[in-house]
Amino acid sequence: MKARFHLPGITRNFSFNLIFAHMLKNCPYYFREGVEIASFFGTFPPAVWNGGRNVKGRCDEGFIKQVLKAFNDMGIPVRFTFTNPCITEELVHDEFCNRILELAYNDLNEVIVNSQLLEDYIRDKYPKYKLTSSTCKRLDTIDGPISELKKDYHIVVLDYDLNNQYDLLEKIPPGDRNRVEILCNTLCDPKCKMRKEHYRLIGENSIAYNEYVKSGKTTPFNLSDYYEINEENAIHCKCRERNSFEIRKLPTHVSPDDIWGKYMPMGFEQFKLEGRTAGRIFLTENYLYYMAKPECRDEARLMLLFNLEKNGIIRVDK
Amino acid sequence: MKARFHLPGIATHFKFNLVFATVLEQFPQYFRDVEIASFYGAFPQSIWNGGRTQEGVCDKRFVKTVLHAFNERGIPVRFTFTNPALEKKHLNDKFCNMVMSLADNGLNEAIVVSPLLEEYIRKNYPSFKLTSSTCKRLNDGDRLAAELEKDYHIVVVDYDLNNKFDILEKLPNKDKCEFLVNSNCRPNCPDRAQHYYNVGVQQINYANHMRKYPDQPYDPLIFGDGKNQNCPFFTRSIFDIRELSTNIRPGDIWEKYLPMGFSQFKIEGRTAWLFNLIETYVYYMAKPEFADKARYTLIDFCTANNVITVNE
Repeated sequence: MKARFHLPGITRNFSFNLIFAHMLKNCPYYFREGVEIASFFGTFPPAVWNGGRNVKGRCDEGFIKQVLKAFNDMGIPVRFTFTNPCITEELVHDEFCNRILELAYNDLNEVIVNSQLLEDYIRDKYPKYKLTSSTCKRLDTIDGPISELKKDYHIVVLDYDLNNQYDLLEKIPPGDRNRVEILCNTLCDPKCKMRKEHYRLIGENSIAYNEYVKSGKTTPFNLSDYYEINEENAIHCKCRERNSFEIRKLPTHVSPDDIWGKYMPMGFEQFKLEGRTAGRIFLTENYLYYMAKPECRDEARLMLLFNLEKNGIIRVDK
Repeated sequence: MKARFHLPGIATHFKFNLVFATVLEQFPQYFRDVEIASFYGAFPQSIWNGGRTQEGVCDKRFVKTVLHAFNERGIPVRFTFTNPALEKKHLNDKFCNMVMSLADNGLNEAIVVSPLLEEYIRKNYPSFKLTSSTCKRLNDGDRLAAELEKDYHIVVVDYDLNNKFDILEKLPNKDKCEFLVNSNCRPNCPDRAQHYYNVGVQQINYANHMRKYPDQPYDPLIFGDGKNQNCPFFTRSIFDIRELSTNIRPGDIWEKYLPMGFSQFKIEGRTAWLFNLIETYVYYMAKPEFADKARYTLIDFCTANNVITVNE
C-alpha cells in the first residue's frame, strides 16, 4: 500500500522541502511503509491565478527553472495551486502565469483548479497537465466528490468536512478511491460557514497584489488600502493561531494511525498536508508526525534539524 | 520523589538555559518531578577550568549578568574548576579569582579535582559548596565510598559505576552522589584520566595565549595539544549513546535510582550541539506523553529569544 503525500510550498519552503526529499531518499528506514512524495504544491509569486493562501513576493524565471528542475530531477511533480475563484476572461491571459505553465510543461507537473474558466483555458492550451479538482470548491456532501470523480480529473481533493465520515466515504466507488486526496491537517474550524468566502477574499487579494506588482510602485503593499477584501476585517479568522498539537483535537483531523489503519485499507492513497505559509518548525513537526515511524520520529527530527542547520535554514546562536 | 538535575553551560548555553528554566517554570505540566540543581560550567578563559576546553573571552559584566540571571531564580552556578594540570602559580589567577569573588554568596558552588586548588578555595572562599569531580576517576566502590565520607557537598560518581546496582547500594551518603547520565565516552575508557589532563593543559595554553595575544586566534597545532580532538566519541548523538552500558535511562532514574535514595543527576553537554541538548533535556526531564509539546515549546521559546533563528 502506498501513502502518497502532497507537501506544501515551492518558493518559501523550497529549500526545506528539497532537504526533506533528500532525507526521505537517503534515510528510508526512518519512515513509515509506503511513504512517497506525490507532489510539492504551491505557486510562484506574484502569480495572479494562485488561490488558497496569500503568497507574496516576486520570483524570476531563473528561480522558477531551478525549483522545477530540482524537484523534477528527483521524479517529483510540482503542482500549481491555481485555484483563484475570481479569475476573469482577461486574467486567463496573464503573461506570468502562462510563462510558468510553459516552463513546467512536461509529463510530470500538475495544476490544481477551481475556476471553470481557467480550467477550460488550461485544458485547451496545455492539455498535458494533469488536473486536480480543488478543495476550494467546498463540495461538502458526498455527492460532490462522487460526481467530480466521474470527470476527467487526475485527483479530486476531498472537502475537509467529509474527513473521518467513514459511512459516507464508503459510498465512493472503490475504483476511484486512489484518485481521492485527503487534506489531513487543516487548521480551520470544522463546518466553517466562511470558508468559501475566505477563499474568494484570498483570490481578490491575489489580484490586488498582482496589480500592485505590475504598477511598479516602490511603496510596500498595504492591505489596509483594500479594506473590502482584507480577510482580517471581513472574517476575523483566528484559526491560523492553532499550533500543530491543537489541530490534532479537531474532528476533521486525520491522524497518521488512521491513514495506515483505516484510509489505506479502504483504498485511499493520496494525502495532503497544508502548510504553505507555516513556519519551518511547524512543518518539521508535521512532516515527521505523519511520515516518520513513531519509534524513529525523535531521531528523524534531530537528523532533519541537523540538515536544516547545515543548509542554513536554521541558525543556532553560539 | 524529585530528581535534581545539574545542567551544562553557563557561557556557551547561557541563553538557552535561561529559556529552559523559564519553560520549566511556566509549563510544569510537561515535566516530570524535576528541579534544576545547578547550571555548571566556566566563563572563558578560566585557567582553572577542566573537563572541556572552554574557548572565548568574556568580561566582568557578562559574568555578573549570568550570575544574576540564574541566582535570582534561586539556581546555583557551579564552576567546573577541575583542571588537573594546575600548578601553584595558577592559584592567584586574576580572572578566576574575580569570578569567585563575584559569585561568593553562599549559593554558588565549585567542582574540584586538584588538591592544590581545593585547598586554596576552602581557605579563600569558604562559603562555596564543593563537588568532588568525576575527573578523579574513582571507579571502584571503596574509593568512592571514602570520598563520600569527606567534606564534599556532592561527589560525582565515575560513569563506569553507573547501573552497577550491587556496588551502588552499598554506598554511604547516597544523597551526596551525582550521576552523569548521558556520557558520550566509551565505557572503561583507558584514556579518560589522560584525556582530562590533556584538556587541562590545553586550557592553560589557551588562557595564556589569549592573555598575551588577544588579537590572534588560538591554534592547537602550534601548541601540540590538539590530540584530544582525535577521540571519535564526541560526536555521538543522544540516540547513539543509549545503548552504552554506562547510559542511565530516565525510566531507571525514577524506578531505580530515586527509590534507592539517589537524587542528583548530571547531564553533560557544555560543548554539545544545541538541538542534541534540547533532545537530551526533553528525554530526561519531560513526561514521555508531553515530550513533543515540551520540545516544540522549547524550540518556540528559543526562536522567540533568538537562540535559534529560522530563515523563514
